[in-house]
Order: sequence, then structure tokens, then C-alpha cells
Amino acid sequence: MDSEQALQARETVEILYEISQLLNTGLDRETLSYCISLCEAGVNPEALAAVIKELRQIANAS
Amino acid sequence: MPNEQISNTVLKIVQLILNKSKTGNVNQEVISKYHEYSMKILGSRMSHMVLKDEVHVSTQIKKRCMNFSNILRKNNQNMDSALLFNNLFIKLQSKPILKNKWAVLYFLLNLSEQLENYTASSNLIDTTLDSIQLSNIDIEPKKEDSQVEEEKIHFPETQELNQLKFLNLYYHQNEQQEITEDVLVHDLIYIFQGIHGRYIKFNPETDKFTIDERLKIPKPTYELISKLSELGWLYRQIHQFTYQVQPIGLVRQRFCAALQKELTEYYKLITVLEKCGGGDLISKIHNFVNHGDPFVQNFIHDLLCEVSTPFFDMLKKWIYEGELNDQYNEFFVEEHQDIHGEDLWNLKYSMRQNGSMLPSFINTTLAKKILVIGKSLNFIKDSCNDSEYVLNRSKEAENLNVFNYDSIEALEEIVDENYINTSNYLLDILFTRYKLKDHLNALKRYLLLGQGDFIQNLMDSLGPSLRNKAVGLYRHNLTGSLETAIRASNAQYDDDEILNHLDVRLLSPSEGDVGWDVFTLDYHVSQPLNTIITSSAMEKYRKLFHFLWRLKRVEHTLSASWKRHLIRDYKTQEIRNELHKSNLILSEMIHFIYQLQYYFLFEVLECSWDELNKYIDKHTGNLDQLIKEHNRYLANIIQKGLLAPSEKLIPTLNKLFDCSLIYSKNQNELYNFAENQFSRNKKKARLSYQQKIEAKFGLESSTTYLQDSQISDTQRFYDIKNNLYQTAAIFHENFSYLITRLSNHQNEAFKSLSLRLNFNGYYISTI
Repeated sequence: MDSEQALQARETVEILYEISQLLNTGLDRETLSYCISLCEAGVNPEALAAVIKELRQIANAS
Repeated sequence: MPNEQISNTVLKIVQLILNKSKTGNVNQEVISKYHEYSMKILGSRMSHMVLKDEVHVSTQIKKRCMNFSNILRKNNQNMDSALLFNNLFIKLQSKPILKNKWAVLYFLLNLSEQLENYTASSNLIDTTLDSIQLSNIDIEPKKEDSQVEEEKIHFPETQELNQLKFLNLYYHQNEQQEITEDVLVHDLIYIFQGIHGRYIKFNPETDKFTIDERLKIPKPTYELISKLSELGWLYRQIHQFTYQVQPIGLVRQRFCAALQKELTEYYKLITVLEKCGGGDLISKIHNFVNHGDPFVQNFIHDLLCEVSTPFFDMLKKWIYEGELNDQYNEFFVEEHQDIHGEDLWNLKYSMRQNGSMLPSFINTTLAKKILVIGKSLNFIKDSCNDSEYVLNRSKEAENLNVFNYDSIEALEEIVDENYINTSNYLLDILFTRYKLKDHLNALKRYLLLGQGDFIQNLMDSLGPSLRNKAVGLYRHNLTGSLETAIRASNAQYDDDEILNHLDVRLLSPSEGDVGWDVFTLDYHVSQPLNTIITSSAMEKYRKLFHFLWRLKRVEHTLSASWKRHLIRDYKTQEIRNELHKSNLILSEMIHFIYQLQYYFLFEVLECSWDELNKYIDKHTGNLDQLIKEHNRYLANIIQKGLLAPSEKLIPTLNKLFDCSLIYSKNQNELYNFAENQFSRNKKKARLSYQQKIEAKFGLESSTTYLQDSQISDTQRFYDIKNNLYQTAAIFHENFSYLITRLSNHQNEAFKSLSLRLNFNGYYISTI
């Protein structure tokens, strides 16, 4: 990946992070970037959201 | 991305989230367990059908942003956040690197719902909600479970669903048959989107929305709801068409897409309507009142009549009783708590910002009048303790029937009439019962030195004690002097009620202050007059008094100096010359002081007072205008009286006063010196005579000459002379500056004052 593309990618993640903040999702940058790459890979976003929710519930419960 | 890579990424996410748990790091076994679990979830739902359009999702996100305000009540932030999102979204669209924008956005949207629940409701409700989430909510009762899932995706307004759950839960707990209009309106909002309300449900058999029969709803409301629910039915029809009929052919698909777009617009409209309440909602509905279609027009009219009832009820109570009964903040007047005393009138009630909640059929002038009426009534009741008047007024209102949407013109007349009546009554109370005019007059006469003989007497009786150090002064002594001055002057014929307000005040003295610096006359203003004569107005009065008091003091001192001139005729030619010169300068100072005083008392004070008086005698307007007029009166005096801070004349005036005082003190010293010398010369003459006699009779001399004082005498005389010259020079310098400033001023009054001070171009040639 050349530097131009890397810059683009970083900017995109930054924008999405701001949207995520606006929507109060509570995701940090790292988790968010993993999630973005999953979505890009064609994972069902609704299912992914369900996974995050589940995991959070588990983390809170334990 | 191959499956293996997905799995790795999921593993990382699992680690990240679980490691944030309360127990800290979690062991590998647990992580791999949940990793498997997560992969299962991801795998199982891989094949859902959703409208994969990023624009569609973005609209939903915007809506969510706006909806936050309903739940979190952070009003100022949320409209902005929708805007902010819009900007971000536009930026995002320009990034080619992200191929699956829709998916990411949809993912974020889904996550945001969850957190919202956490913040919106207390934990208790939250857990109950979770427990009923799966079992209780059937969006379509006849559908099978698998379809529920799909329905949920088709209905992106899960937000509303959550609120609905909340309502359901709430009403299960408090089973009640009487329901308020609020709840029905809330229900209707769901109906508009084709969702069941709590009381209004869709009946698939009759194919329409029906209202719960157990409810007691008045017939007109019932009809209104039936009419409105038709909208929901129409929505359902379109909705079903776009989703359930499999589109065949490109044109048909396109048609469905277009319909979908229209529906999104429709959502937006509903959210906008839902967001506003009270007067704003009435305004929104009022926008449709001139619709061309007679059917729609009728419908909107009926709707408005119904919706505006609470508004008119509030209005009636406000206009006739001065009470604001508005627990949902729907009226365009807002009340501020914890405001008492003199601020009551100004700050307690105000229009809401940007005219929000003001129905568009009430114009701003009318609204202001309405505000003043209520404020006046409130003021009459609370500050003037005259609840009888307000009671009578509210009785009057009982038979009136103009407080509805149909008789707006009649309402305008009533408001106008009430406005004039109430304002007049309020002014009447202030001027008759509370003697406002007498008080204003007293303020002018005592604090602004309008009553000359009183001030003269006060100066005479206070003068000796004020010459002492300020620290040694006591208020009770001065109060005694005040009494004496009142008794000795025409002030004794004044109303006792007004004289009682007059008082003496000592400012806190600083090092080296004499009594003159700290003495102030004070005037106590009680409720409700302190609304007009506010503490800031009193501050101005005191400032003016301080200035005038100084002026008067200089005049008093200067005019006292000639007395000594009369007492003795001093023989020394040298001293006589010097006295003559200093008296010339002194008369220049007296000229200045007299002219300034004349100007201030007649041209400034009396003229402004006359203006105020004329306004008061007209007896028109409301209290607001009266307060404004009084403030203008004070500002006028300050402005015309050279005291406005922007003119920067105060330092010059103060210097001139100081010079005059110092000069008269120096002159006094000259007199003392002359007197001393005179008595010494007399003594010397007597001594020399005595010596001559003694010498004649051959007696031994019993006295010695006072020769050595001769040198110090010359020195002293020189010093005094020098002081006088110097002070006079400073005086002249400042005086010329003042004249130049005044003659160049654009204000005509200033110019004429400068003409009088500089008569015949005595100081500065004007030609």
C-alpha cells in the first residue's frame, strides 16, 4: 500500500470515528478499524453489531 | 478477505472488548470460546436482505441524531449533530477507498441504538425492556417468527419501537381508563408510521385502525382520531406494496424505489412534527390553514381548533389572572424562578428566545402586549398587594367566549382593551397610592439639590463637622444636622412620608479623607417603587449628588472668603496689592462656579425634569415605558451635565474644583499672614513707643526686638504668593481646556455654556 492510499485510509477511519462518536456507539479507534475491515470484507453489519453487543454484555456481566 | 482473516480479526475484537471487562484480563480459553460463539453469530445471519443503500442509511442516522434530543434533552447540541453528520457523510462519500460504506454506517447505527437505551432510561426499566424485548413485541401479530426479524429490518424506526415498549410497560403497570390528549397524540404518531399504538390498533379483519373500546373518549376527539388514522392506513398500503409485492420489471422496481424515497420524506416530516410542541406545533399546523382544497382546509381548521385549546386556556389565565400555568413549557412567555424584589418586573417573565412557541397567527406586537398584560397583573398582585383588582378581572373573564381559534380578531380587540386598562390601572396605583411623582420630585429636590434653602442650611450646619477627618464622623450626629436643616428650611412643609425616606450615608472612608469626601444624602426607595427607581438608578442619583455637593461646597467656600475681606483694612501696600490680585482670580472662580451651577440646575435639571413631568402627566403607555423614560431622564442629566464618562470631562472639572478650594485656602493663609503681620507691627509700634518712653526717662530697656522673624516673614510671604500664582496657573490651564472642549462640542447646550464661561472671549479669543 503506497503512502497516498494509507493517508486516504487513515482519513476515512477518522471520519467514521467521528460519526461513531456522534452516534454514541462507544467504540474506540482500534475496535472500530477492525470492524470497518470486517464490513469491507462483506460481513453482515447487523450480525456484527449483534456480536459487539453480546460481547459487551458478557464483559459487563463477568 | 478470506475467511481465515475474518476469523483473526474477530478474535482481536473479542480480545479487545473482553479485556475491558471488570475482571481485567481473561484467559485464553474463555476468549476462544466467545470467539467461536461470535463466528457462529456472524455465520448464521450472513444472508439477510436489507436495502443496501448508503443514502437511505444516512437519512436514518440523521433522524437518530435529531431524536437524541427527545431523549437526552440536550437541546442545543442535537440539531447540530445532525448537521455535523451531514458534513461527515459528504466527506465520506468522496473517499473511494471504502467500498462498503453502507455496511459500516448500518453497523454504527445498529450499535448506537443499544447505548441509547442505556442513557435514555434508568437501569431498572432497561432490564425490563430487555426481558420483554423478544417475547412481548409483535409487530404483526399474525406473522411467523422468522418474519418478525425481517419486519424489524423493514421498519428501521426501532427507536420508536423502543419507546413503544416503554409505553406498553408503563400502561400495564398503571391500568387507567381515562387518558389524556398527550397520550393519544403520542399514539397517533405511531399510527402515522403504520405501527400499533397502545390504544389504537390495526384490525386486520376490518382493515382499519380501531380505538380501544374501553376508553372514554369524547366524540369529537374520536372522530378526529378516526380521520387521522386513515393516514396510517394509507401508509400501510404503500408500505406493503413496496415491500411485499415482488417487483417485476425495471419500471416497477423504479416505482417502488421512488415510493420508498417518498416514505423517507414522510418519516422526516413526522419527526419534525414530533419534535415541536406547544405553540410551535400550532404554528406548523397553521401553515396549512389556507390550503386550496376545501376538504383539507376544513380538516386543518378542525384540527387547529382542537390543538389550540390548551394554548388559549393558558392565554386566558395569563391575561386575566397574571398566572402562568404551563408545566410543559408550551407557552411563548416563560417564567424564571427565584427572582424577587426590584428585578421582578424586568426579569421574572420574558418571551422565549427567537419567538419560539409563538403561534404564527399571533403577531409580535400582539404578543408583546400579551406579555405586558400578564406581567402587569402579576406585578399588581405581588408587588402592589392589590389582589382584589386581579380577582375582579378574572370574574369578568368567566363569561367571555373569545378564547378559541375561530375568534382571533375578537381576541385582538380584547387584548388591546386589556392592555390599555391594565397599564393605566398599574400607573394609577403607582402615582396615587405609592406617590411615585412625589418621590421623584423629592429625589430631584434633595438629592439633586433642587431645594436651595435646604442645601444652604445643610451646608451651614454640617460644614464645621465635615471639615474633620472622616474616621471621626458618626452617622447619628449628621442625622441631627439633617433634621436641623429640614426644620430650618421650607422642607419642613413637605410630606412626612417623603421626608422619612431621606437619610444620611457615609461612604467607607479611606486614608486622609475628610468629612466632605464621604458624606452622601441617601433616599430609601421601597417596593414597588424600586422597580422604577432601581438600585442602578439610585447609583446615578448618588453620583449626581456627589458632583453637585462638591460644586455647592466650592461655591460655599468661595463665597465665604469675601467675609474676611471686609473685616480689616490692612495697611501694607504690598499685601494689599497681593490681596487685590488674588481677589480678582477668586472672582473668576466664582464666575465659573456660578455659571456651571446655573447651567446645571436650570438648563439641565429643570429641562429634563420638565420632559419627564410632561410624560408622566400624559398618563399613557405602560410601566416598561415609564421605566425607560425615567432612565432617559437620568441619562439626559448625566449627558448634558458634562458627567458622561465618554466625555472625559470629569477629571478636568474635579481639578478645577480642587484648584478653587486650594486657592481659597491659600488666600486664607495670606489673610492670616497679613493679620499676623498687622498685629506684630502694632505690637512693634507699641514696643518702640515704650522703648522711646523708657529711654526718655533713662530706664533700662525691658524688651528686645523681634528682628529675626523679619527674614522668615519675607520668605513666608514669598511662599504664599508663589502658591497662589501656581494654583491660579493650573486653574487657568484647565479652564482653557474646558472652554476649548465645550466650544468644539457638537451639542449646542455645551457651546452656549462655553460662550457664557468665556464671555466676550475673555480667556480665549474666538475670533
